[in-house]
Amino acid sequence: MSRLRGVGPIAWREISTVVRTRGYLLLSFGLLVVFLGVLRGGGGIRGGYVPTAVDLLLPLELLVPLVAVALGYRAFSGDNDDRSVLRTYPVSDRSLAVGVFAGRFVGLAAIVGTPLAVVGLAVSRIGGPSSSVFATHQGVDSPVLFVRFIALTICFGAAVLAMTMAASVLVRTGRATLAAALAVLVVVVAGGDLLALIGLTAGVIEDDLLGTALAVSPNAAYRGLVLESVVGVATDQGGTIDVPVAVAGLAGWTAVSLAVIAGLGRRTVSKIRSRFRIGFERLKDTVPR
Amino acid sequence: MTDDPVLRFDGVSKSFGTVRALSEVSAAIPSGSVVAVIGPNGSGKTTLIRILVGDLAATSGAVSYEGPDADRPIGYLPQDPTFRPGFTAAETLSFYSSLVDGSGPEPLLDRVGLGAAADRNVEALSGGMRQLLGIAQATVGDPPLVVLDEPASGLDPNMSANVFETAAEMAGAGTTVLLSSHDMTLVEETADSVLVLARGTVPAAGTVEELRAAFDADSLRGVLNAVVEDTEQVAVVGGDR
Repeated sequence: MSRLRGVGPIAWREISTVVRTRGYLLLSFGLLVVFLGVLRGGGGIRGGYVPTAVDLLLPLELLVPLVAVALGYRAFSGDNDDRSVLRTYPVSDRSLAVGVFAGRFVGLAAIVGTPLAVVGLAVSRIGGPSSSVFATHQGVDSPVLFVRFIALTICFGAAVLAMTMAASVLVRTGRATLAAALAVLVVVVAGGDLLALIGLTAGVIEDDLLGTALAVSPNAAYRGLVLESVVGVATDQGGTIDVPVAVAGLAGWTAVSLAVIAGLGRRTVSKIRSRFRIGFERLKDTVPR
Repeated sequence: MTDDPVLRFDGVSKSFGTVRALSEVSAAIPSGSVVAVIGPNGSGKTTLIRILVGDLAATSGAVSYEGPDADRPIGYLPQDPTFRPGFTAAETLSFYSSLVDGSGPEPLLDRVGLGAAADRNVEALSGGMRQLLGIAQATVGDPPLVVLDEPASGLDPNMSANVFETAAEMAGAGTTVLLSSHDMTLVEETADSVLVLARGTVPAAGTVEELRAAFDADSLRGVLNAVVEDTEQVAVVGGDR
């Protein structure tokens, strides 16, 4: 059996599911409305691509994880869960993980990327005088920088999507799946920054290592990469984050989560649970009654 | 039916924490036959089936498939089949087919009498029709062994009979069908051999006639009652498992 046999049909089924779910279309439209509202208030759209990216950065740190959770938390539960049947087909757990993730990722890229592309188009029409310059050298606003911003946003979404799907695989049951997905949301949106801040105030993290520590957190990595490779390029200001660690952080969260979805994590958790149970049984035996 | 087993259980045990669901189950499933697994609720039928299809790992023992080489050796209908919402019956089967041989869904749907509902969304199918779609799914890729976990669950008598007839037809065409059921009448009419499960063990197995004779019962229900009574007595004498 080919290691990735069945990935294509599985991914295609996920894409079809996203396309046929009207709620996702509404979600994408809702994002566009929010983006335009934020830009109307911030005025970035008239300033050009980079000011637009700056205006959208903070809302996207919350909205992208929300979309990822909406797409991922039920990917392996309820009516979407036919793993017991798929195990009788020549499809490995790895193929299933890659296929479902790939399909949902395409959905996420479309849901988030389309309204951002519309915003980019709007900038090209009504943005500042430099917004039509196709250049990436420092100090110049450019649509290439906005494309980079969209690509980074989608990569950030991929990491959160994979984390959400991994959480849903580990807990499996309906209500617990939602709780686990919300936990991922809280951890991604606030947890990383909070931990780095606590580490800094407690003296565990040195001042000069703060950039590296933040880069491990998905949303801080995303923010840092946007500031470095989009805003920093145009304004000649950077150095807010350790770029290689940030890239490795986002890729690492995605890869580890995919490994969990493919079964590695489930077996590990099952072993841990089993060890805890044995330990607990032994403890009960030693406690006098 | 041939004497060559298509499947063999060797001392299969399964525990969930401190609860022992299966205990040293051993059996051989002959090919080209309908084999029914019967037993009261909680006797371990679904656990045995889930181990067989790879959905659960046995705590000890082994299940070995000894049938012919096939892309998909075992087809499976779970107790409560789920289908991806928003897809038609034909699209659902096309997806599963694309994982094996890529054949069209029409022959599979016709086989279970769902040809007219091919373009109906799975959410719009009745419980019985969903069950039939599940059976069609279980036969995708022509697996030599088809496992049906309570295929008549929630169906009206006519539909139940239809499901069992389909199972018998599959066996007639050389496919081995292993099914679990609480409908003793249909099992008696359809099954070539019966595996009785009680408290996670197999206290009796054989053809319907053999079982009736061994337990001096006039029906399979009588056999099951006698087996369960015996097992309960053993459990009481032997203490709680």
